[in-house]
Amino acid sequence: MIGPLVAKEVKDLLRDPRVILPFIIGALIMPVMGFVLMIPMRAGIEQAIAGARAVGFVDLDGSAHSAQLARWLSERGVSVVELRPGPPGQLAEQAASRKLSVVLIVPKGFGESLDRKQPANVTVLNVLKEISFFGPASSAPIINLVQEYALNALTSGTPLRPEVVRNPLRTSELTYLTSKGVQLPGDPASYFALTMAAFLVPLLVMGLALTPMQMAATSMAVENEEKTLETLLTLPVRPRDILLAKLLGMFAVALLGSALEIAGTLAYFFIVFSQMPLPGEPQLAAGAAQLPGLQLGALQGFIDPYGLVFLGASILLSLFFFAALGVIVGALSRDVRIASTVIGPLGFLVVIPSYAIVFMSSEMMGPALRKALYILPVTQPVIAAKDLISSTLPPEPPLYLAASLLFTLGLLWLASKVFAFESLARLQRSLESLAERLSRRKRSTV
Amino acid sequence: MPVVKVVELVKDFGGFRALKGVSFEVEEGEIFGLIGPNGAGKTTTFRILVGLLTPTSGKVEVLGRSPGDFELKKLVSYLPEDAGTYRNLTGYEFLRLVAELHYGRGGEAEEALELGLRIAGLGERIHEKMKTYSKGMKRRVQVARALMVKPRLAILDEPTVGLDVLHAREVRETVRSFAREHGTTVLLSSHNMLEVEDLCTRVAMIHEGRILREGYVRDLLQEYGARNLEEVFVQLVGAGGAG
Repeated sequence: MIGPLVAKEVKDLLRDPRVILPFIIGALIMPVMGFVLMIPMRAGIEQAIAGARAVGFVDLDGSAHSAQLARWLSERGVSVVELRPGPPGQLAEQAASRKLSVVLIVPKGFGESLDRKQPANVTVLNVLKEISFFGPASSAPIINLVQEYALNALTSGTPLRPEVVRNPLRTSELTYLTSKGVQLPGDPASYFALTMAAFLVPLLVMGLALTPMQMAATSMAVENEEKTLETLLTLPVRPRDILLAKLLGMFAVALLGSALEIAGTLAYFFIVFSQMPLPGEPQLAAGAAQLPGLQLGALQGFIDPYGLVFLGASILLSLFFFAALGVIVGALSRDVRIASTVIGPLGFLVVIPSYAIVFMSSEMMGPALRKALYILPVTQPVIAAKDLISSTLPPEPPLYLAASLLFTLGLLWLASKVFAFESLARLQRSLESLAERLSRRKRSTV
Repeated sequence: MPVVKVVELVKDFGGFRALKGVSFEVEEGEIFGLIGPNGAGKTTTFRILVGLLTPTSGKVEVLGRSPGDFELKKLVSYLPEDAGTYRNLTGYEFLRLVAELHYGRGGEAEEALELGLRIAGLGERIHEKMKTYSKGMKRRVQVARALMVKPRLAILDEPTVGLDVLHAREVRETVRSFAREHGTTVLLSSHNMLEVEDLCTRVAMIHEGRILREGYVRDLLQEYGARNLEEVFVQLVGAGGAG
């Protein structure tokens, strides 16, 4: 009997621009954001990777070494522009007028220090127009070349070779992730992308959960606002079927919306990462000691496929739970305004534990808290997403899924008990006064 | 057996007593009017009759059953005073939904839908979203929704509220002819006493949660020497109520 009601919900929601437009805009805006971000980022990163290809040169030393340094830089493709000596402000002006962002000042005593096999002083003046996220070319390549020159000068006439002084130790580092039993090349800092994924994926899951809750609350509150629920409750359909139909319709639309959001987010990451100019694969030191199992392909099998299935099921159950919560909030709200006021603070129920999960390590949580977070549909997909990437899932996922489902069914059962016109009217009055108090508090803090 | 039997009905909302011992009966096939000003207790009485509210005390029977009984929902149609419509559904989709909730998918539902379309009389506009409808069009769809399932009892709360004279007259005609044609008992409320006089055979006058008087329209007019029910009501209220 609920078939026609579910169909009505889906039609009503899909035709409501307030419901569907945010999904479409969300899906479209993410790739656009990716493009907008990538234009300056790409230019900045390319510049940073390439480094400064021109340098202002101020020779205060006038020694053979300082002249040789200028030639050394020129031979290595750096355009060396002689500048008149002066205070930093004057030098910066000269550099800016010649579009130079790095000035190398060779002070008196530079050559003498090198001759005495002592560290030599140089000053690097970076000339910036403004502080920005993607700044001008880095001075690091110039400094590296100057160091190279100094190293050659210091080791000449000695039995030491510059490359030995530069790399006195052949290190090969690898990481073993005990929770996954996986061996990875490099140190943990090399896995920036994985760290980011462990951080972002749970937050994405959290975002997905909040959307159906908001949507369900709005849709149900509209029933109250437009006074359609009163009619519906007098038709030959049981209140629990009205609730269930609302929930199933919402769930179907939420799935579609979530799919759009995921597609938009994936497009964003694809654009950002595919356009990102990278310096290249990390190179192992030549002749580094080869340890058993050390290979870049070690990332294969990093994500457990069963874990992915669990995460998918957990997200679905979580969407169902949040849709149920939204339906209840909406049913208890006399109008959309009240529903929105209540949904805001309720969202913190998800946001706060989710942030805790993202930033806390498993050891900090302790086994009891971890179990609780796995049982609650509010937090289950968030902690599962984090564990799936950064460590390992607990051994009893089916039990946790059952617990999450039971939680949702319990919530629905409770809702069906109060889903009567009179109880709703009474609870709506209470919620209205609560929403009023919340609004007043918000106004007084602004 | 009366279709509706209300005895000493009391309803409290917290400390406020909305109904103070309301009693009346509605016989099969008649159009009965519950008339009174806003806030008199008409809507509360109707909501109790359809099981939306529970009485604080008193006895209520509808077709011999207690209000709220699931089977009763198939026999009783209720049109709330401010019944809203689904903005994004068409009138056709709404009527089909109600038909399918009553009869499932099949011949009976199609027949009810056909009747609903005829009562609504919106022509091709029935296929447009209801958010584009005027107030009158929405009300006609709601009246069609309430009557198309051929209920044994139709409870219509202010069926012509907010309608202009012509639309109100149209709705009254629809209700009258439908009741005659299908033998449906109609219990309606209105604060427009002239309208009730035109449509109802028997009325009960309600004021501040109490029934002041119940009887045939013709008899009441005669008894109070009044030109219309409005004058009867004024006399009753002026006299302090009880008749």
